Amino acid sequence: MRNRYAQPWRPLSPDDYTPLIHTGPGPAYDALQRGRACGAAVDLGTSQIRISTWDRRTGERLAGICGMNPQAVFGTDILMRLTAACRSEERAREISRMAGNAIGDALRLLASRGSAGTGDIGQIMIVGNTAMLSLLSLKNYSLLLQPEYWSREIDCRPEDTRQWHTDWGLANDAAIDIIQPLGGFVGSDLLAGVLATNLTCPAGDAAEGALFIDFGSNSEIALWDGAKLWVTSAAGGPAFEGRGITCGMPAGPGAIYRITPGHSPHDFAFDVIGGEELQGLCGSGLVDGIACLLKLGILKKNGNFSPGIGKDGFSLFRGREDIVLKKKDVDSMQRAKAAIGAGVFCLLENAGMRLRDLRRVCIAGAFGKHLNIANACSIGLIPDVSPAKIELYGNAALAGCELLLIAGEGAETLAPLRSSAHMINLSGDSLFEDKFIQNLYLQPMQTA
Amino acid sequence: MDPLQSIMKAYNEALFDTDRDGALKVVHEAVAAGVTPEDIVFKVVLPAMESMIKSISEDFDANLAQHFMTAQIATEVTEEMIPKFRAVPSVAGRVVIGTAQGDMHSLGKRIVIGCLKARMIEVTDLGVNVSPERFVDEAVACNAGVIAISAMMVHTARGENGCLRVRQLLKERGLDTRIKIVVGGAPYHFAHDLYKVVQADAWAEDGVTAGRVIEDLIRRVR
Repeated sequence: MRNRYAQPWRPLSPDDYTPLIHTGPGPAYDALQRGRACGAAVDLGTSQIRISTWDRRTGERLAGICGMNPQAVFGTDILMRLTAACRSEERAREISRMAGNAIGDALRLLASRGSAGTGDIGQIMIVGNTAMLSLLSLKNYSLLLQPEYWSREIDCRPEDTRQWHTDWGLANDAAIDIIQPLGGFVGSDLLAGVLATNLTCPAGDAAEGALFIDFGSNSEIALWDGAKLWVTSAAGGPAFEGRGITCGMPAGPGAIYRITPGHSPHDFAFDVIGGEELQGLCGSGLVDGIACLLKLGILKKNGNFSPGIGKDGFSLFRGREDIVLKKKDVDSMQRAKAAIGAGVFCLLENAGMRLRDLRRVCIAGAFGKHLNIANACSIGLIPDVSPAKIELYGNAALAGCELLLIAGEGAETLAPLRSSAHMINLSGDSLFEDKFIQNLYLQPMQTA
Repeated sequence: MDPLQSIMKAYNEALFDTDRDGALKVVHEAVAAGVTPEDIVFKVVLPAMESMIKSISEDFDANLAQHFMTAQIATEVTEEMIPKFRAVPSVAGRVVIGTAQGDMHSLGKRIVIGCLKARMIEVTDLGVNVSPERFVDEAVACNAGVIAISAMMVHTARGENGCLRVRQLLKERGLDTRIKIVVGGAPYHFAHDLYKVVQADAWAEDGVTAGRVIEDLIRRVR
């Protein structure tokens, strides 16, 4: 079978970006008075790496690019990669180099396509989850395998960036800023996402509740209650990104991102990214597939197929290569979304809030902007609130990183968020477990 | 049909559909009709759990969600029935259980605890991320014959602060003939001899097996 993950770098399209709240000339550049004209924002994800380059004088985005994180050969989730890195220093250096080289490749590729020349870059800002940042900077990564450190601050500042300057073709005076994570299990990608969605903005009305869910291999959730930012992460599992799914693939050209019922019960219509020949299911396609089969009664609420559908699963599409949905695919999604449901419940519980107190529900990450809200609600992937309250973002982490890059204060912008944040560790919490099991069913999210 | 058989059939059907309310309804009706709580646990709940695990064992990873959901139903029923037993059940043995140091995956342990309780084994749950010292200290304090260590990651299964260290402490304190170690979790599924490498006395692949394996170990330490 073809490897749907062997995908080259692809340019980010306008649709891939989250509109920035702040645009216009970059005060960062004005403040510096001089310095190199360009900057780069990097979202170093567990599965994907996204990079955009900016003209700091005009505050305009020059280009953007997205590719797979090559560290995936050492495991699709962060624990596998951390374990691999802890086996030997040699291995850890290799894993670090993979991410570093990928960033370098992307910068050079962007330069060759007429975006910022690497020598013109004056500043690079990098956000990511704590594991990705610590593996890149080769600092404190071994602490992340010890649960005592999950809620503590983890220093991910590299000792020396000269090697990156050389490898990435940067001028000596270019700044490379790794935006520090909040703690062991909450990265700076979450902070960037909260910034990009303006989650903590003071609202006109009294109800302040705003929820942010960043779906990914490592999903992060934040709840703003008007004064405090409650944050946690849930091992959502790679299913949201199509990984580990029989016909799964990342949201790129050839991926089915939307499925709608056709004329007859077993007939479906597919929307494919890039309008190309369909190759597999990305996260939002998987959600639609499961929701459609549930509605048709082909799939039961507990994740079992109706009698008569065997081990080979259900063919959503028959062609040169069938697009099938197997029991194990449904099972992966059930466990992934149950962790989110339980996480949302626990944050609401900590904040003393109810679902009805939420004014906004901001969805970012793996599903992009194509998630079918009704379908997502019906299987309990996202909270069951009025669709008017749900806002779909694409990659909010990159957008937040871009804001930091062009904002005058840079990383200081995050200081208020850091001081209002309260990390909630859900592992081993029996309330979380109860809610996890309750949320395994394919039904609206159980948050009471 | 034997009334107990029809109860089993109805309970099994509800369990297969992971229908919690349906399963509880079957049980409540049976108790109202005079079936003893003992029979519910030993002749309905335990056999149903066994046949469910058997039916999914071929394709275990495809049925994890269902496994969690059905185990939850079995635990709920068992916990409701045990206080209703006519005689105070005799304790088959005592076990301390927890996840290895560094390991926060507690759902497998949860299923095992449910199965052990249904077998009248007294369980002390030490929670997650349990240090080797604590495993041994608590086993001594509870007068437990078995230490059960769950590890869902290779590094917590094989690591120096997991089972290996518990074994070392038992030896140092002269306890290793009195207290046995059983391990479980994903890494042991992939390497069936791993339990020997980490110096455990046995491993169990699921909750039902864990019940049997632990009963056997308890007999050996008596």
